[in-house]
Amino acid sequence: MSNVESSSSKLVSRRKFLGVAAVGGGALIANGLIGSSAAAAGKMPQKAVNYQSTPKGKLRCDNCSLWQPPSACKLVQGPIAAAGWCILYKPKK
Amino acid sequence: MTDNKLMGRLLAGSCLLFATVALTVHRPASAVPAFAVQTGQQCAACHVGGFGPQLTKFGREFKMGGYTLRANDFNVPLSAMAVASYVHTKRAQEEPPTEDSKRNNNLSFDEGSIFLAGGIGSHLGGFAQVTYSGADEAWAWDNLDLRAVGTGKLGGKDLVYGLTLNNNPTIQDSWNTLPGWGYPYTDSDYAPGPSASPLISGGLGQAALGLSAYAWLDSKFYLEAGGYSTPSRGTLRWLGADPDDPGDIHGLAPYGRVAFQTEAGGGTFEAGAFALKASLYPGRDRSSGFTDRFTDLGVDASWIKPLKSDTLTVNARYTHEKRSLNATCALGMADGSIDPMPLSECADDKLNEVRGDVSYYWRNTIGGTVSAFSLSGSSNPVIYADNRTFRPNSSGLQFQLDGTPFGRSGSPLGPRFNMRVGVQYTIYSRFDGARRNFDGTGRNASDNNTLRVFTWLAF
Repeated sequence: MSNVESSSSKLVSRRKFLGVAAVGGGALIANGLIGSSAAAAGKMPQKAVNYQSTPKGKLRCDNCSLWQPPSACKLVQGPIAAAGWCILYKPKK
Repeated sequence: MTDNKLMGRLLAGSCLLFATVALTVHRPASAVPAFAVQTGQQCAACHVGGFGPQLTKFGREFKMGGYTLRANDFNVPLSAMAVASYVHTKRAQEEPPTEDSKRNNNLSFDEGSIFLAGGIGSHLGGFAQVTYSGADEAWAWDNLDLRAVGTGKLGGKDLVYGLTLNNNPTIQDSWNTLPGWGYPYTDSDYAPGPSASPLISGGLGQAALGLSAYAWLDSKFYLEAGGYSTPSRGTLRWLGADPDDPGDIHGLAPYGRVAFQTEAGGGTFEAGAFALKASLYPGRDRSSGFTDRFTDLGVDASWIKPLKSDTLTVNARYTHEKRSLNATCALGMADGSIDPMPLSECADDKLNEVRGDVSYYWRNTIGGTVSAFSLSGSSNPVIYADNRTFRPNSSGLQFQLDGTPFGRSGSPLGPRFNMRVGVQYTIYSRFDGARRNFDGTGRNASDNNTLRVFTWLAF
């Protein structure tokens, strides 16, 4: 019967699985650490937060608490327009 | 005791719990509210209705981004949650649902959870939940989702890619269509429920550990592939889980998921498919030489439409399960609990599950949900021996009305404190195979119609 296997082969499968997990995880982290591209994780792509380069009424990036002058945002990737807006907008206190 | 007195006790209990929380959480709150503090966003930024787990479009991005988005340098990555409820069935259940409960009108502390939740740097994040079950009166590990992520460009489009280590197939999914985070978002061990369900609908929850790789391209295309294995008996026992339920996965159980998301009709539409294939030694018993084999295939779709300050959501999924319970049947025939018969007559079975829900949340504060569900499958006198018709068929509707006062704005008890109170009513048109006398004792499906009032706290 094809689905009958010994417990030892099951253990090997699990060991292989954990090995793949460790290697895969390590490779990904290494890639992240070494590759550290400009598009860093930890910030959202502009499309994901409905970013627009124009204001929404009086709501503009340069009066948002996440604004990082001259052209960046704490949470959104890439160059950001001072007059832009996205769904993460929070007014400065 | 009358229902009114019980309702009074429920409300008194809720107030007492509320007061206790108020005394202990009278400081800047930290929960999976820890994610709210980490991102500097209100609960409603990530959650429809201002309370988990139904995700907004942004909430999905946060999850697929590995929970790494951070607006501040550090926050305490701890959260807690508690759920209490009152459950009333139209007719008292045949047996008390737990050892210490009554056949009806149970006022219960359903669960209390602690979360370790947060992102570390730009590439690592996740959450680990441990839960005290009021029904089991014990702590055990609960949902786990640990991620390593990276970002880049593919064909000029934004790409998020990553690995997720988790303990329940679909718990890593970012849409609320699949079983891991599908409606109902809260239920009770004290309420009756159909006896059959596909394996992917929680059957491996906290009984398996899986790793999968995923890619999310242009906030449109999602692709994931991975596999699940069973931790050792000692590990599961240490984690508080039943080490023999449902059994030991033979080799790896492959899991796959694809989804497409786009803007449509003024909202965000998603359509996808999912698959899980598993061979199990039931109860870890390998003596029969067989395994129980499950193949689950499904499709899903969802739509979220923001309406000024309100939100409309639609979720649906269909799951088809083909299973061959060769091991269960062989073991049963060997110990005499199943009469001898050809294995295929006992073991082969099919199950279909259809679920859908529509929610409307007014200002992320007051929500109404209507859900429909249907479970159907082939007749099997062995697997469904307790059902008079030998069929698994169950169907019905559930209605929920809930209020979440602090989802959109800060609570007077601190930014981390949030609360949802709600009422659910479930109507069964069919239960475990029949509308009437489903178990042969004269009990009808509608006798299991259930009223549940719940209080759900997060901080």
